[in-house]
Amino acid sequence: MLYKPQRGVILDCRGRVLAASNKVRIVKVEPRKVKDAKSLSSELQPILGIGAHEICKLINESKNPGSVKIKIGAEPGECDAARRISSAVGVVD
Amino acid sequence: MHAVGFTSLDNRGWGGIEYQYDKQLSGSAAQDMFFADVRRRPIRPAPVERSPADNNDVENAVLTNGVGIILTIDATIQQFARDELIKQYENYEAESAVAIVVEPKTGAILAMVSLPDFDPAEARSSDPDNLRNRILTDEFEPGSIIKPLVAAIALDAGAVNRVEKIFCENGNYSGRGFGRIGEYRRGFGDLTLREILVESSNIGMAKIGQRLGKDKLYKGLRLFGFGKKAGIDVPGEADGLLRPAHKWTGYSVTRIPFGQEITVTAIQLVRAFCILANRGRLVRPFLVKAIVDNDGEITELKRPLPPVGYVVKPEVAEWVVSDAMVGVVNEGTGERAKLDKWQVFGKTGTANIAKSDERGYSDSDYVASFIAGAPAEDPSVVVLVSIRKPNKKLGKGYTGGVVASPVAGKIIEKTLNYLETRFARAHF
Repeated sequence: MLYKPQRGVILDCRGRVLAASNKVRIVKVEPRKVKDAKSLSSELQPILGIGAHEICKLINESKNPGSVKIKIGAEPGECDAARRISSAVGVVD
Repeated sequence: MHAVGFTSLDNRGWGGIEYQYDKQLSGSAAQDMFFADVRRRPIRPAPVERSPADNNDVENAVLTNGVGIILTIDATIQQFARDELIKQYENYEAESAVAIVVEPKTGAILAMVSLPDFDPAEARSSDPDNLRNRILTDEFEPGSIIKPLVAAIALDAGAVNRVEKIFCENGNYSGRGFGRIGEYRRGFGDLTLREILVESSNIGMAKIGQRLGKDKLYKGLRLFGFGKKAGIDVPGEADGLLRPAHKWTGYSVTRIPFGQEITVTAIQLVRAFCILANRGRLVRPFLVKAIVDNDGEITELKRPLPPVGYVVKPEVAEWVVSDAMVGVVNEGTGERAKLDKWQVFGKTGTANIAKSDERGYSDSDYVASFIAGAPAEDPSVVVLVSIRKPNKKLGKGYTGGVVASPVAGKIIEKTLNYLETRFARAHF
């Protein structure tokens, strides 16, 4: 199991934070597991707020059958709802 | 903020301090190792074997979060500087603008603004041009802003003195091997060195260059740091262009003293004036103050370089700053930077931009700059404001005195008031 370190912060001369890391959630789809890209895209559209056509295009045109990023910076609620749709949908923190 | 930089999606530093200190900020990941069965199911933890030869692998076994980095930047001063610069940048519809605030005695950079800038959260989708820290990367001909430095070199070398008068040819100086030189506004007769700087006479400076000669002028400018990186602790710095003296023509020795045939970066310029404000002692600008571990303990304190020598004699530097450059603000082109509470010293520069498609300079494109500092008797800040291509067609002016000096004046005023209050609070 891999434990990722937390990135250090950058502070100003009085200790005020100038840069700190935020968690970014990415909703991904595994194209090889997708049987019907069109219907999956239609289901993801209202959850992620991205056009079904755009999602479908990302899945069909992905060069990596194992993973294609659909939304970077998704909210926790969006991630949970997206994950429930299909086992082809995953979330990376 | 350009000085801080930004990170990629996989958390790698892509610019500024984030890039330069990526390894320290990243820390190191750790892994749990297990013996597994044929179906890759973990059975029991595997012992971590360590030997001196495995030094690199050992760190994989221990999770180490990234260190913290404390910068010399003061967020309050950074905000003042950005607010003032952005107003003028928009007001004059300029192509780009930079401002930098430095503590001349140490070289600590208190603020660094480069416009147009970017939202760090959206850096990856920003125009790549906006990600560039123009203070470090962009070279430009400095124009008249370089005059006090050349005057200091000439005084130090004994090529001129403070009392003699130099005939400035009533605004039209020409001769074999160096072409014709004019003035920006009007011609002058006899001027002292101080008057040459206050009036910003090109002909006066060209004559000083001729007296000094190319070798001494070249050496002096190199000592002030031109033609090489200022050595700041973030990546991307350009060298600027100062051709070796043996490649100079008759034009070079008369044009470089008023800032043509030489290109500089903003960081080089501000460094050179910090040296002058520091009574001739060498200074190197720096951004990282300290590195702290995960418990908040300082593990590495970055101290400024110990003073290793003088570029010009202290009395020469002091005279240029507290007499001639004060004159520029009190009586000359830098009047808009004058403050009631603090005595400001400064020098304006309005440099034509060379045409990209043919020989010569553009009549409509300028870099308007102002270098300044205060208090003149014992400078605690030096500020450079440089605004590229203010829109001349707006009819509001385009010179360093009109466009850049008010911004520098306001930044100095706010910074000194802030530092004074901070200092007073710290000693209450």
